[in-house]
Parts: sequence; C-alpha cells; structure tokens
Amino acid sequence: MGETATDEALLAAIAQGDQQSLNVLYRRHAPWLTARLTHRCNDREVVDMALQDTFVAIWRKPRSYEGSGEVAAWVWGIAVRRLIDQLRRRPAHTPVAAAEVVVVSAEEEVLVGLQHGGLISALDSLSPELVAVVQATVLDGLTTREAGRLLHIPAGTVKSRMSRARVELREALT
Amino acid sequence: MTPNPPWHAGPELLADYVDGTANRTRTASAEAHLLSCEECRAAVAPLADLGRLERNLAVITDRVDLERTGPVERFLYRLGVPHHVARVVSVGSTERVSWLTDIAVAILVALVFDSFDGSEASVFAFLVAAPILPLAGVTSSISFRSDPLGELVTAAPTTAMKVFLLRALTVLAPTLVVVAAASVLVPRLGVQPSLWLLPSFCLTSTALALGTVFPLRAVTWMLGSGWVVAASIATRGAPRTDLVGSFAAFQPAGQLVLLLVSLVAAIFVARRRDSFDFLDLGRTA
Repeated sequence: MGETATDEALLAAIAQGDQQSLNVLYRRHAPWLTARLTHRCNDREVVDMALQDTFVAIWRKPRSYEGSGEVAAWVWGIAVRRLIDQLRRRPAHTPVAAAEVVVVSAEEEVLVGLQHGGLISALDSLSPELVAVVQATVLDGLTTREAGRLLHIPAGTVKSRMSRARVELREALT
Repeated sequence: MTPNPPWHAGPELLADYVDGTANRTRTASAEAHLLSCEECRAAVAPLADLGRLERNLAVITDRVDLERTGPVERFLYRLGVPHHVARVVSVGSTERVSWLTDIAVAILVALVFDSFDGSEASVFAFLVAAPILPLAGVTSSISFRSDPLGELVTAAPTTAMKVFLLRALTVLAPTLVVVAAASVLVPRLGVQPSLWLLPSFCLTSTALALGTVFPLRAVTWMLGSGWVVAASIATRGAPRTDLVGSFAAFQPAGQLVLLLVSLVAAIFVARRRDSFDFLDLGRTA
C-alpha cells in the first residue's frame, strides 16, 4: 500500500498482515494524535506509550473499524482509551484540566464562528470543570466511566457535571 | 451558521494548537476540524517532533514484529533472550521440528527393536545412524536452502558465525534431551544410547571446520558416508553379539579420540569464524 492509499484501504491491507501499511497509517495520523493526546495529558512518556499502544491495537484489530465514518475519529477513539489505560496505571498523574483563563478576542470569535462557532463559544461560558467533562464525553466520545478515569473523578460526578453543563449550555445558546 | 466552504484551520491555529498555546476555544475548534479534514491533519505533520515520532514507530515496529512471531520466539523473548537471538533460534522452527522427529523416531525404533529381540545389531544400527541426523540437521540448518535464514543473516546485528552456532546449538540441545530421556526410560541399556553423542559432536564440528575451506554440503556427505563405511569395515566378521564392542569409536579410547578431534575442530572453527561471513553465504544461498 502506497502513500496515496485511503485510510480504509490501508486498514484492509493491515488486516491482510501488511506491516508497511501500518507505517503509512502511522505517519499520517501520529502527528495530530500526539498533539491531541498531549492536550489531554502533559506527560510525554504517557502520551508516547498511549500512542504506541494505539497502533499496536490497530495492528491487532484493524477489522474493528466498521467501515462507516472517519477513520481518524475511530483512531482517536482507540487512542484516548489507550491513554486512559496508561493513566490508570499511574495514579499519581494529574490530568490536564481545561483550566486556563479564556479571553476570546473578537478576531477569534470570527474564526471560531466558522467552525462549530455557536456551541464552542457557549462552552467558554462554562466553568473549567464542566468544560472538561463536556470535552471528554461529547468531543472525545468517552463513556461516563471512561471520562471519570481520564479526569480522575467518580463516574457519578461526571454525570452530575454533565447535566449541569447541559442546562448552562442550553441557556447560553438561547 | 453554515461554514463558508472550505474552512481550514490554517497554519497559525495549527501551530498554536501543537504548541499548546491556543486557548480553549481555538483548541476545541482545531480538534473538531482535524477529525474531519485530511488536509489539515497532513499539515500538522511538519510541526511534529520527527525524532520522537520515529522513536515511537520503532517501538511499535518491534512490538508488531513480536506479535508476528511464533510461540517459541515469544517464549524465548519473555525469558530475556534478546530479540534478534530469539529470531535466529526460532526461525524456520518447523524445519527443525521435522529433524527432531527424525531423531526421536530413530531412537524409538531402536528401543522398540531392542525390546523385541534384544539384539546387539539393532542397538549398533541406531548408534551408527544417530550421529548422521544432527550432522545433516546442523548443516542443512545453516545452508540456507530450507528456511529464510539467508535473509536474516544479512539483517541480523550479529556475525554469521554466531548465527551458525546458535542454530547448531538449537539442533543439538534437544537431541541431548531426547537421548537422556531414552537412557532413563530404558535403564538396562545403560550408557549405550549416549555413545553416539561424541561421534555426532565430532562429525558436526569437523564438518563445520572443513566447511570453512570446502563446500559444506560436500563435506557433510563425505563425513556422513565415511562414518558409515568405517562402521561397516570395523565390524566385518565381528560376532553378531559384539558389534558395539568391535567398533573403536564406541570404545573408551575411541571416544577420547573423538573428543580431541571435536575440540581441535571447534578451535579451528573459532579461529576461522570470519570466513563464515563469506563462504557459506556465497556458496549455498
């Protein structure tokens, strides 16, 4: 499989045991995956191991991609779960909370307005711990329990924060 | 709010996103976009730490290689045997299994014959035949016709000599186990089943030593047939009940000579180890 093959074709080749295709898939997706994982966890070593686990998992089960939707989203789903697995083994770790103070410039509002603008601007009105929960469940597609592991809070707390976030978002959007 | 098609994250946002300097709003926007845009994903690649990516890929490749390997190699690796050694030992293990089967069958046949008629002849036939098997096994395991070892030697981070010796050991070691087991199972045979060990060491090491000068296959044939011819000449006219006793190779003095020859051959092989890098690769590949 060459550099120009689609992600789907690469996965099909990997399922046939073609290791070269795994390399092509890696070079295509590892850069943005590394960046995104780093936004979830600022420990380089943990991110590297999660990334490695991700591609080994893809090698093992390329057929778990069901053929619908972006391969990138499927890959991210694996990566964030591998990250959670890595974090579970290191209890001392503190996750990156969405805690920075956000000052949205007018310019950025225009920029953001072009891509999911309304919702993301509304997200900014939420408190950091609510944003972290929305990010984990809605944007990263994790279950309540997985989000709890990533953020080091009980699953029940994820649920209660999520319902608070839902109420506040609804208010912000109307 | 419909985006003006096509919207892209743009180099500035991507750079800030990778650095972690984009604020939450821009980060979320970049992430949402990256999931659906191949073009922008590709644009992240030049911003990444290439060395780190390659190191991670190397780890992944190693782990995937390990997944591809058979149970023997994985087991050795778990025991702490270095990766490349585990590969050398276990590659083409099916081939070796067939050799081991041959040896085991030879021993079993001899034991069965022996238990039926208790004849000296069957034991003697076994003792003469047994050394041929490791000799053939070792030389075929390193002559690159039967498995992908030829490829491996050029790629392995070790000398061809080490590869040969490892392969030779992996053929010889299990045969020792089998023979030891035979001695234990049939105690009345005593040490007789092990009399073939020194001849087989001697034949194998001599073959390797001569193999540094002459074609290995020819040497193997010569030594193997020479051994059988010597055995039949030595026992011609000997009483059927004393075949083992009349072949010098199975007597204490003969065994000592075989041991000395083995040692000399081993030293010779060790000295000429560099020649393995060229000779056998060129000749038999």
